[in-house]
Amino acid sequence: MSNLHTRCLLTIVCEALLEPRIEADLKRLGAPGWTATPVRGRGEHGDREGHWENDGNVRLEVVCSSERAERIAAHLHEHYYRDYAIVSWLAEVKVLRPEKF
Amino acid sequence: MAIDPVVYFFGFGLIAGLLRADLRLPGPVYDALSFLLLLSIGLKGGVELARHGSIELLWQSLAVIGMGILLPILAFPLLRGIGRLGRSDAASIAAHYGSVSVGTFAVAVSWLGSRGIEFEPYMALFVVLLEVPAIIVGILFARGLQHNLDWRDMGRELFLGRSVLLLGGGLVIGALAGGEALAPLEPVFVDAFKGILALFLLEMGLIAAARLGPLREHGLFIVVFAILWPLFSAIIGLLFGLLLGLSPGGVTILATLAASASYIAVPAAMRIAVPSANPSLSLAASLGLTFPFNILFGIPLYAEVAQRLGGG
Repeated sequence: MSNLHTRCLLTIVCEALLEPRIEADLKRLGAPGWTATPVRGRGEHGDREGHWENDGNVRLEVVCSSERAERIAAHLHEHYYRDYAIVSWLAEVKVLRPEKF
Repeated sequence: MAIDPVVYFFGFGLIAGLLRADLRLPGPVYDALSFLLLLSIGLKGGVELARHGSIELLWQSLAVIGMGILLPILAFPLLRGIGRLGRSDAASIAAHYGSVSVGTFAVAVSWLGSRGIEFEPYMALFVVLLEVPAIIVGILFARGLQHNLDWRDMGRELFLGRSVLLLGGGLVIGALAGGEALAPLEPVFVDAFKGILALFLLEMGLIAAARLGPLREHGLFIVVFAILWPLFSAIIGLLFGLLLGLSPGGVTILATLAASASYIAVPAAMRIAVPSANPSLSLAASLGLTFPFNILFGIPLYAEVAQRLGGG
């Protein structure tokens, strides 16, 4: 398909507790929108099983320009990486409606 | 010494968790149980509050808030000095142990109820009052009066957290509506209480089992603290209860509240306000050790002492 456009998918997996704060940051940093999903898994902070409120993780996905995604990732790195269970990654994706992202 | 049947559910969950059995409740079910538990306690307390409201109760409430401030102030230097913990961890654990566990309160109520021991029925008010002061003291110990902490944001976290809001909301609804008007709701909020508590404790047993693993990494001090501190803070609770002229049942509950450590509201607040504190350390202590200790051994012990002192 020729009408596909390249954008960046920023995926963040973090403690569920951080969700409201990171969503406020996303809004402030101009993310056009995001999707949040409760998830569980295992990492440096041990099992994050997600079956009660202090133990859950959330995955936030944002599709936007790569400059914006990098700016958001840098902000997360600066504010949350030291103390919280959080990882994020960027990937190239194709979208049909570039004006949305 | 007969064990309250709900405590068996906790033991069952604990053993199943240690055996790594897959028993866990889905998240939304756990949420519904904790909603029901908190609202039931709040409603019942609210109805009684409307019946017993008095100036004396106001003084009792102020004294209870004072106890909530005193406990973390006593715990912090101990955790720093003897435990050699860092400032953040000591402050966070002090906040956990100054605040209260609603689950422990519910077991104490159930324990007294099944033995027909009377207590002041508005004690749920004290649970709400004891949730927050220790968190504020803990934040002040960890951060001092720094200006970069957003207290407005923190206030939301403290007063709009699930347990404070649901207990407080239940208290207000109970007080406004009164016992008779609430009678149609009794099948859910009163009759089902013990069943809900049993399921909640089964889940807490599973969660507590998962917390015992990390305990090994944290050394002996925290294990000793998680068992001995509740015995000490229970004495403070007993003294406050006696000074306030509570019945032996009421003294038992206040001692239990003083001895209990938060594992829901405080961890969430500390994670936001004092992110450098290690959450697995404080939760291993409060949920892995202190909670089981209190519901298995603490409550009967505090009741025994309260009855001897009160009956003398």
